[in-house]
Amino acid sequence: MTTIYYNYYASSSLFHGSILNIMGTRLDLVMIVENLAAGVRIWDGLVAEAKSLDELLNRFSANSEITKINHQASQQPVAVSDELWEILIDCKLYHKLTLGLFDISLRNFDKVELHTEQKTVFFKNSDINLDFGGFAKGYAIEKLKARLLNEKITQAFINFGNSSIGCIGTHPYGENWSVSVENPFNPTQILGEVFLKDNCLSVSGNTPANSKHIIHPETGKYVEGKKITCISTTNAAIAEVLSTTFLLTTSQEKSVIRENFANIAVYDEKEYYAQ
Amino acid sequence: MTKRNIMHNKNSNAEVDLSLRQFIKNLGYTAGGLALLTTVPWLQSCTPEKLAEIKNQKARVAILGTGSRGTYHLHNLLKIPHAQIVALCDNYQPNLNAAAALCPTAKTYTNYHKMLESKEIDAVIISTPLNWHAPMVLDSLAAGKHVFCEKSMALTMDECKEIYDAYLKTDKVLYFGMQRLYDKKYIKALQMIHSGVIGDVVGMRCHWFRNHDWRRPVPSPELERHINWRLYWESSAGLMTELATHQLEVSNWAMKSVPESVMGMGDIVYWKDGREVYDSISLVYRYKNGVKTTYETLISNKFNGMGEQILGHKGTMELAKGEYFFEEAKPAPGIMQLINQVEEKVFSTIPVAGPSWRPEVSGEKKPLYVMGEKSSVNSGLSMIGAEDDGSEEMLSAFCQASITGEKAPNIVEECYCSTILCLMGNEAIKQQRKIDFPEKYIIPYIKF
Repeated sequence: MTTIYYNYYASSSLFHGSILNIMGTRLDLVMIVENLAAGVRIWDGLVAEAKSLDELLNRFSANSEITKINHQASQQPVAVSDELWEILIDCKLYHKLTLGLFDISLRNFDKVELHTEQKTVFFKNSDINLDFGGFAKGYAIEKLKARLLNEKITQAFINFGNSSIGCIGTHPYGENWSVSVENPFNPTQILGEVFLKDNCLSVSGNTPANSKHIIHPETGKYVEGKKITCISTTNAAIAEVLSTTFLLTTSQEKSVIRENFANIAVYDEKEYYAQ
Repeated sequence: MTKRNIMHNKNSNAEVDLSLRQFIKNLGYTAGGLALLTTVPWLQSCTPEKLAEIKNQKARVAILGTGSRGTYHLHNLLKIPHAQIVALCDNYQPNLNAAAALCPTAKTYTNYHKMLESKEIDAVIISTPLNWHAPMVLDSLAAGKHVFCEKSMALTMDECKEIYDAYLKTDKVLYFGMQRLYDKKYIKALQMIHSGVIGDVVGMRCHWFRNHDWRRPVPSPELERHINWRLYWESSAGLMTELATHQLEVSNWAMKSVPESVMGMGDIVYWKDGREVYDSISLVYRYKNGVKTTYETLISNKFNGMGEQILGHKGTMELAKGEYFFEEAKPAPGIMQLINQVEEKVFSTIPVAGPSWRPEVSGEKKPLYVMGEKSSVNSGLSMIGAEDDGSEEMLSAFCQASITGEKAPNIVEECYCSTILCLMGNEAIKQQRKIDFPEKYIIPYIKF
């Protein structure tokens, strides 16, 4: 089955592209572009980018770089690509800034050794697995947005599985891109609205079908409950980090983390309790 | 259209009409002026503003043929504020009496030539057996009347050409009952097809199935051919001209061209009751680029109902149902809302944000709706006419045109092409060979 398709709506110069089953979810792009040919050319570039990130970061994909690392890094240091190296360094920084709550090792990031000179990674514990589930989509949105901006696209909306959204400019007939957050436990109920313009939104929380997917790194237990956190900011990766983190924090931790991020990002946070 | 509109429409014909007119106005608006309306030029005279210009004026209308379809039009005319029925004509007295009872102020005639002499009549609505279409249309135009005639155009290709030639010369308005041209869900769907929503059109499947003998009760045997005119070649071209015309017209609309040739078969499979016309037909029409319309009709099994499927390389449009499907996947509902907003130049919040979305695993194809929600669907089972299928709107537009004299381009041409194609289909069956579009009937409108 082909998992990629697109449509061009000539009367409104609107291009819609979709990739199903990428990074465990689906990607939708809506952009305003002058013609179909230009749209397809840009879209092809985005698809290549998204696929290569999937190859890099998807631990459920047999051939991805991260799968290779997860298999080998507990036996010996494994050399990593430049791009993955940068990502690991960023994740280490966010791990520190979030008091250890943002943790791509899901357990104990301190046991992940990063050797700066050789750019290798080594797991000091054999049961460590790196997982970019709470980061990759935001990172991908940043890269896709950069490509779109480079192509002089001024109005675009990227939706990565509803939980990670990025946009450029505004809706063609609005002052922003306005999205509502649905209550996953009661889809007819709207929890709130978020207005986006040249920025990104990340939403974290449980859903009825998927109630065990966020692990608290200190306790090793799955996060329970129906809290939903939303972060909107200019950097989609930071939005991902904070929306996951704020799902786990106590109020004391939260105020420290806010301070830690004060110089890094300006963001809006919202919290909902779904019923 | 909101649910409230639909409920309202059932009660008030004027509302049905206005809802189409508003829709037409919006088409012009969404395209930024006339750009989009130019693709549906016959609708340009149908805006709410144009209707307001003829306020308090009435077209004086005669109904020629007061059988089932004529009576259907009569009921609709009674609800159109800018129409007044002034005359009724039929040579079958029981039908004429029934119509006169519904409209006692109208004069009655049994001879249409006499009726056409009347100076009180602006427009004639013809719903008579097919063999009468050509003489009645030509005589009515010659008498200086505006004319609305039921489809198909005429019984023979020569008659069609004669009508077409008269149409070129006349200063009167001429409509044929191709009501899909006035059906919102068809108009919208065809525009979606032309904007590439389902990709390149690669094939079409049209069918019309019923399980009914297609007879009307005959009070005495000598009236058989008069009443069951549909069943005999002298007065009818059978299922092709009674049903297929609409659907072949839609095929051409989707393709923006006309098929070059047709092959196929027809038989009397089940209703062996002395009728002459086929009760089972399967035809293949071929367009120049190789795209084919397969046409099937059968009146001894109704399982498949009526439908027109336009097959694109990316999706499928079910015109009669107002539904479409994508080959691979449908846009997520929130994204579809966003696309529709931009298409309609509006802005509002879309419901797309939430914790991780999981792809749907069900292989079942769920429809997307052309009109944004489920449309009323014509089952195709009625032998008279369906609700909300564009017929009322078209009639209202015709009455308006009978006041203003403003012609509606393309309607005659569309009916001409699809009628010739129907008649070619019957020829292919009779001659058991491929029939090409006859050169002598090619008109400038036709693109192969």
